[in-house]
Amino acid sequence: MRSVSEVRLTPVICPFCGFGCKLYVRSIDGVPAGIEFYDKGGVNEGKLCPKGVAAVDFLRHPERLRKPLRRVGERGEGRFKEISWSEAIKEVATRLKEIKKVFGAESVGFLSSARCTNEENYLMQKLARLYGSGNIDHCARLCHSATVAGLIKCLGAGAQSSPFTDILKTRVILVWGYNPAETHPLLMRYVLKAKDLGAKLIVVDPRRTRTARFADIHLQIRPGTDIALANAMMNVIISNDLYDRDFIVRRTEGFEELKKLVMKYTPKYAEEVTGVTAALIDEAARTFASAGRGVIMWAMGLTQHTVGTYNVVALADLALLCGYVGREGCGVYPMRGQNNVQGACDMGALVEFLPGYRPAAAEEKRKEVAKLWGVDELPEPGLTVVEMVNEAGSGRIKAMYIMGENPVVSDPNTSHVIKALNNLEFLVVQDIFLTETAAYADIVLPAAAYAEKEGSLTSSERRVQWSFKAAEPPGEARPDWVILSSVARELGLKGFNYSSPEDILREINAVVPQYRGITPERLKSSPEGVFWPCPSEGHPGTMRLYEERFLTCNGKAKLVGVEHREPAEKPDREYPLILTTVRVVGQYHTLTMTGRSLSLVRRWPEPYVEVNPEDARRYGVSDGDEVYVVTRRGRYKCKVKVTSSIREGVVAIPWHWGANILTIDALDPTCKIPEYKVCACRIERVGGG
Amino acid sequence: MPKIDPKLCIGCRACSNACPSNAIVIKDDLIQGTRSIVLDLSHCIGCRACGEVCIKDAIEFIEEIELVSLSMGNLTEEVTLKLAKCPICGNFSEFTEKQIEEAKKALTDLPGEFIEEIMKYLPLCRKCRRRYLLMNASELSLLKFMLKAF
Amino acid sequence: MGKKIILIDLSRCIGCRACEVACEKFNGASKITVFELEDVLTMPLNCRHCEKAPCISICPTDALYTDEDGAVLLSPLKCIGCMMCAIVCPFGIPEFDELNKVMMKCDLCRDRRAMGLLPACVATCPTDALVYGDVNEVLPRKREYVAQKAIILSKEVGDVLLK
Repeated sequence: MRSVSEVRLTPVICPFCGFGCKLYVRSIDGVPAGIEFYDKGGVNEGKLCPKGVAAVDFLRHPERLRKPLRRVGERGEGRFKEISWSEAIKEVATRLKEIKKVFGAESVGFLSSARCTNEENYLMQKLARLYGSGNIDHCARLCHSATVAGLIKCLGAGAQSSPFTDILKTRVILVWGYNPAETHPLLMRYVLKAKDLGAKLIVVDPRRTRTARFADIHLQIRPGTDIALANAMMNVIISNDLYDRDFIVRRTEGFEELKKLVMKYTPKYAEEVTGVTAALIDEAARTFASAGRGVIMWAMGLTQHTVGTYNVVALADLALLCGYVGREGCGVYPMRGQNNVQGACDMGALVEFLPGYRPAAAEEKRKEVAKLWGVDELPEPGLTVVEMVNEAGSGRIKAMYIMGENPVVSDPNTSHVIKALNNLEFLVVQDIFLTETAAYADIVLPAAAYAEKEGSLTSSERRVQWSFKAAEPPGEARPDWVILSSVARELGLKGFNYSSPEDILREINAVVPQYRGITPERLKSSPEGVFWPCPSEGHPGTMRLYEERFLTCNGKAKLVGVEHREPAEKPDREYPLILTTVRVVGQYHTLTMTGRSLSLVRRWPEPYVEVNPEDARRYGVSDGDEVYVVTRRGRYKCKVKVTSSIREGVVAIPWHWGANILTIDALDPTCKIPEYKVCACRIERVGGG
Repeated sequence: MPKIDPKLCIGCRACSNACPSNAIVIKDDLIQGTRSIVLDLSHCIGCRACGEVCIKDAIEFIEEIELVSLSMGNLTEEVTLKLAKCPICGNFSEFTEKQIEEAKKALTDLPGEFIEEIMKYLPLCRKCRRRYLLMNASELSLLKFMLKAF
Repeated sequence: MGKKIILIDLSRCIGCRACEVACEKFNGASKITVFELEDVLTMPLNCRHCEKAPCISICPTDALYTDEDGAVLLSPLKCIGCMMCAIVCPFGIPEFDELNKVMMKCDLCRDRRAMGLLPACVATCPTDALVYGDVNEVLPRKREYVAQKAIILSKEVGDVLLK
């Protein structure tokens, strides 16, 4: 007798960007079959972008990892043999123990993942720290570490200050180095609604992006000159007495120093540096400061510079100067690119922070967490993502445990990363597909993807939501938290006996003060989720930060003046163009997921380089030509797209298809973010010339 | 056995779609700008499906065929029609000139001004027709045009 | 029941093509297409389900008809694939399905409407550039929008003339 198929709609959180969209996964007898639009509210009101609509495509892809693998061929060759789970876990634990004995625990690097749930990130950093290694980091380093470093300096916390609904109440929106129309299409919903209500939109971007088409003022800046522009805007605001004097006196400090510094940056001077006319800078500054309520949003275009931290500081200054923080309809919005990058930072999967943003460098904080975990002490902060890779190259890092990340494609200077991975004694990769990085691993562990496990995720606006299990993982793939706890138990570490993600979340409630009231029961029953900080179970959650005090030691925000500094690599005779990396709406990061959806690949099939018509004429290329884009680090073949939307002297490549072979690995000295957004390049026609 | 009347045939390929034995094949030559409808009698099973669907009644059925030649080549009939050339992009479109003439004749029960509007774009290929909406119309007139279409 | 339409609001389209992907996911092949006029605007276009549809009036086999919501539907059993509908369609909407030798076109998500859901493209559109509703509710909104656009356009033109 055949039973009737069971069709279920399960609410999950979209696995792509950090906006936190809710959708249903339709599953038939535990097999994901499609999506349905969420009908009970949520930040996206049921709407989805193309990636979200295609979100189940990769779940049952034939290339999904189904069994643990052991490498039999050379590194990178991709020849593997299937092994059993017990064998795989035992081998990982044994090798890690050996390496600890011979080289010490600090020779092992752990990479956590912004794609995994809060629970799994918490486990990963707990595993690393209890194992004795301070080298725990994840890809927030490559996107928003500058934001965290910069905002903590000025405001005291590195998170988005207000919910997205505040955008609807604002009067001016300043979008800086960010293209929501392609990055977060759902945010454009809020921006356009705000525009309907009369808000002005100012966009700062070297390209006339789809977002800039909707802008009232578009400042087409030369890449890498953000500070000069921000300082000039502050100059206009201060000289014309447009700043919020009351707010500055009451809630900030350092105004006089800032004033002294920005007085040098006249719009005239900034015009020379940034390439934006003084009149336009003046207009933008006046529009921004006189609106009364304003928000600032930024993303990779601002942070991925050697001055990333200072860029963020400059924008925070701008917001503080106008008093656009801690009020309704105001706020700073660092836009997150991954569904749980905020959560991974909260959980302490960062070198410098223990769970709950306790500074890992402070001994008493380490002691505090050690006590909660029932051990004597925790290791000091170690190396960041890029440093780990560098040290792997030089031989100080002997082994790495990578969960759900693909540094071969995502990190700058690809060939350097490959060399470093080849140099490792032991590499474990835990992922849903055999990624470019996994091809170099000794052991590959198959993980369950987003809809195949449960857990909580924290979106860009600090909204913690529960994602339910909609389908069974393929083959023998297991949820990351199951794998991590078995590895930890095999390593002989205490405190890894969890029976469900809820268990782990309860421990997080106890360890992370911001999450104290965010219990699993509460999350599961609330379709809208809970905003952290939420100090107790009865607390409604905090939608808006800094309403009464800033999270700095004395409760006052700090205005910090920063000087403009040129990018690490400037165009010269040999490499006359500036290369910047961008993204397209239908592809996501390193293509591990979206590259396996036919619907998306059909529409966004291949990389291209955007070239201004003037530059195209100068270098003798035309639309559709195949060219090599060449930098000091490598060459990259792609097609030319001639468009007037990009500035003269600048070319842009979407990075999904591996364009990081070109980018420079120069780092911001404060937060170690690499400068993806500016390097010097030239274009060569394929076949000489 | 079917026989296509080249005077009546407009080259719509309905017969080819209907034929279960692939006896009628459509060949478009986008360089010369011609469409050939090739009927191969050696494949024909005599089901008369082509005649049933033909919108111009261009297919008649003859009881017997006279074998004039012994070579198989003469068992094929071919009708060649001109494809319409798009006045905007200059490429040949996927319609024949006669199909468009037929469309003009057939569209009689719509209001006059609407037909006038339709006549303007009828010669365009479909790609340009869509593009035409974007390129040749200002946003406003495009909207007006679309408003009319409801 | 009144006629239902999908209103396309060009001024809100961000060109993300979510409608295309959604249509493909729910209907097998995408019957809505986003056109881009380089650097100026993007515009989704699907069957407009015209009230006096030229495709219906020309179809030699009466394969095209309207349902109770006013959607123009195609009956694949009646269609002979003669492409006359494609010729007369102002938007070039009906496509030839090579596999089944019939035409295919947008059916305003008949199955989803039957379940009380919005058409997939409208359900997904992140910026509400696509709005589905009764013609009597949506059209006044559209007229208002066209009028507003006209004012803005005439202002812009006026500005240019004054300069």
